This record gives sequence, C-alpha cells and structure tokens, in this order.
Amino acid sequence: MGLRVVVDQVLCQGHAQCWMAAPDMFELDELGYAQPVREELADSDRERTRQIVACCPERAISVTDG
Amino acid sequence: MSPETGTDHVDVNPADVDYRVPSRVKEPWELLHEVRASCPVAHSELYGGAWILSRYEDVFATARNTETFSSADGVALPQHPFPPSIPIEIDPPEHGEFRQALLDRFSPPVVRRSLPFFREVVSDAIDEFVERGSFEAVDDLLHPMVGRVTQNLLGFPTEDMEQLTFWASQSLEGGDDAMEIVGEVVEYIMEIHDQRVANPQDDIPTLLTKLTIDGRPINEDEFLRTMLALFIAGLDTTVSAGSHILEWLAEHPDRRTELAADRELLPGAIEEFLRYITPVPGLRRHTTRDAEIAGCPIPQSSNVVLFWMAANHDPAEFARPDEVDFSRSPNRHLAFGAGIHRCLGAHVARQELTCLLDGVLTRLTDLRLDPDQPVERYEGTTRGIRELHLLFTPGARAS
Repeated sequence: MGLRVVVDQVLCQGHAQCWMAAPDMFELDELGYAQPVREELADSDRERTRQIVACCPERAISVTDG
Repeated sequence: MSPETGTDHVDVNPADVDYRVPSRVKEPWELLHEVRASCPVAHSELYGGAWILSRYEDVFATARNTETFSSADGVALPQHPFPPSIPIEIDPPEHGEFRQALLDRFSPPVVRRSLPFFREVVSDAIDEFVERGSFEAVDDLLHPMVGRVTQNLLGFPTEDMEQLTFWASQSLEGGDDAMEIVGEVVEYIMEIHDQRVANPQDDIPTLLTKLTIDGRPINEDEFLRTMLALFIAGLDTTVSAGSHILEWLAEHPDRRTELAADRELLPGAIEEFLRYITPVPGLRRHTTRDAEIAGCPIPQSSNVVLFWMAANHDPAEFARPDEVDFSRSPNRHLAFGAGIHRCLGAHVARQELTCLLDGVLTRLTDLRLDPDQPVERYEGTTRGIRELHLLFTPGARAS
C-alpha cells in the first residue's frame, strides 16, 4: 500500500519549506512553486512524508493512501 | 500560572494594546502572551483604532482571506510616506498579474545563481574592518550588504549604491526630511525608467517597462510603485533581521560556537531566528465588508493588524515558543507572511542571511557586544536597530 503526494498549485505560494526539508522529495519550478519528485511513494516513507507535510505554511501538501 | 509562559494571567486593557512595542523592546514575550491570552482579537485605540490579532490560527486565516481583508488601502500602520506599493498594496485580480511577472526573478533556483556574488559582498564588507577588531554592524556590514544586493537585483548602477542605501535608511526612519527623500527616490527611479526605455537591459526595470497587465502596458505610475516596493522592501527588513541575529549571537557565545561548529544547522537556525525575531512584527489589512474573527464582529472599513510576531510566539503552534531551537521542525513561521502576499524576496533574504552568518561565524571570532557603546533601537514598521557596536578578535583580509 503506497502513498500519493499532491501539492495544491493554488495554495502553494513558493515558501519552499518542503524543498528545503526534503529536496529528494520535492522540486521547484523556475517560479518557485513546488511539485513532488514522484507522486507515488512507498509506505516506508510515510513518517518522513508526514513530517514534511507539516512544514508547509500554506497546508498545500496532501498525502493519501493509494 | 500559565505552564507555557510561567506568568500569572494579567488583565490587559484592549484599548491600550500597542502592536509596535516590539519595535522598541527587545524581547516583549510576556506582553505578547498576555495580550493573546486575555484578548486575542483586541480592539486597540492606537494608530486610529485597529483590531489586533495575536493567535496564529486567526492571523493565518485572515492573511488568506484577501477579499474581506484588503491590502489596497495600505499595509503599514501608521501609513508610510510612499505611494501605494505594487504588488504589496494591491488586491486580486491585478495583484496576481504583477506578482507572476516577477516570480521567476525571485525563486530559489534563480536566486541561488547569485550565491557567489552574495558571498563576495559579505567578504568585501568584512575586509574593511576585519583587522580592526571592532565594527558597527549596521553601517559597516549590513547596509553595504543590502545596498549591493539590491543594486544588483534591480539593475541600478554600482556607483549609486551608497546613495541608495543612505536614502533608504533615512526615509524609513521617518524623520522630518522623509518626504524630501521620497521625492529624490521617485526622481531617481523615473530616471532609470527613461534610461531603460531608451536602452533595454536584461533586468527587472526593463521587464517592467515591457509588462502588460490586463492586456495593456503598465503606466509610469505603476512602474514607479512596483520599483518602490522592490527597492524598499528588502532594505530595512533584511538589516533588521541581520542586526537582531548578530546581537543575539554576540549575547549567546555557546550557541554561536554550536552554530560555527556545524554549518548544517544554519538553514534551520535562520528560519528559527526569523520566527523568534520577526523583523516586521505586524502589518495591516482593511475590511471591505463587515467581518467576524473568532466570534468577534469587526465592522467594514476597520483596520485589522496581523500581529505576525505574536503568532510566531503562539504556544498553540510552537512548543516552547520563546526559546531559540536551531532544529525546530516544523517551523511554519509567519515572518514572511502567508498567502498571496508571502514575501517575494524571502529567498533573497535567506541567502543574504546565510552568507552573512557564514562570513561572521568564520571570520569574526569571539564576537561580543562593545560594553562602552550600547545598542541603539528605533521604531518603525520594521524593528529597528540603528547602531550595533561589536568587538571580535582581529583577523586577516580575505583579499
């Protein structure tokens, strides 16, 4: 059972906290908006992903099972 | 007794709440906690009357609600002497068009390309006093740093750097000649405008001369107001952050040693300093309709202060909020605001502060306050340190 990570592109304001905390998991475009490097993660990434999600000042990152 | 703050609950008179106290007082934590605990939506009578929000959740939610809480009537309280700046003091839909046009000059990947230049700027400034064993951080290090970074960012001529820094420091302290200085800055910016129309460069002023909004070219007034925002917004704010951080490091030698010994701590430490210090303690919004925050009714046309600093010390969001924890995570601080007006220059500021601290920690050993020259503070929209005299063990020039 894996995880799906999504960055809401309307809520994202380019704080880049996710990228600073986990550059292997999030990348920035030239405008500074974040995207997951891979949308599907392994279950073993769950705890780390949860911590990074909590870092977003705009609550723009969501994680779901699937 | 409050377990978080250790104080007895004090009754605060909401009418007296002064959100600019942090601009004069170094560590106003008790006041912030008292205000937040007793009247988190306080109707102050100061500055023409304003509702002061001091809980993180209320500040965050209100910052995001730009329809009800507008920036177009100005975000400084009391008002600053400049024309309304763009994109800071405009609302959607125009806001988005101006901001989008500028974003790719301020994103982390693009800002990172200037890293060698930022390092050089800090190194050059330190070289001027490193053999002396003493310096005044604002004039000797921070003004040169922000002056050269701004000049480079905005494509102003190198030789104008000193003049620009002087103008900025004078105009923002709001003295008697503030209006005269505003006039000089406006004239300077419009000269740049005319030069770039005649002679386009690959820089932000040229970008603006060619910008179209809503299908039409921006006019000279909009050019001026955008350049003003970009010019002004990164000067006293970054000087404030840098000076308060250096003051704290000079006062906490053990923590300074900890940071010097492990530079991996630096990015987290800078975020934590931004939270702890909150260089811009609060900004204003204006209600476009009757509103309600935490059950408290707020009429149309009211001033509402987003008290970023109180939010940054809210124990409901940050454990042990009055402690500096270099490894604090998460650290969703509001020193750069939140929502669509999130500070455009945040990544520039972070890079400046990283280079500043790297340079200081490496080259200025045994940094301490000069006991004979007390720190001088001033009040403004930004928390101001006018003079910060520091001593250190003399070292060698880098070049």
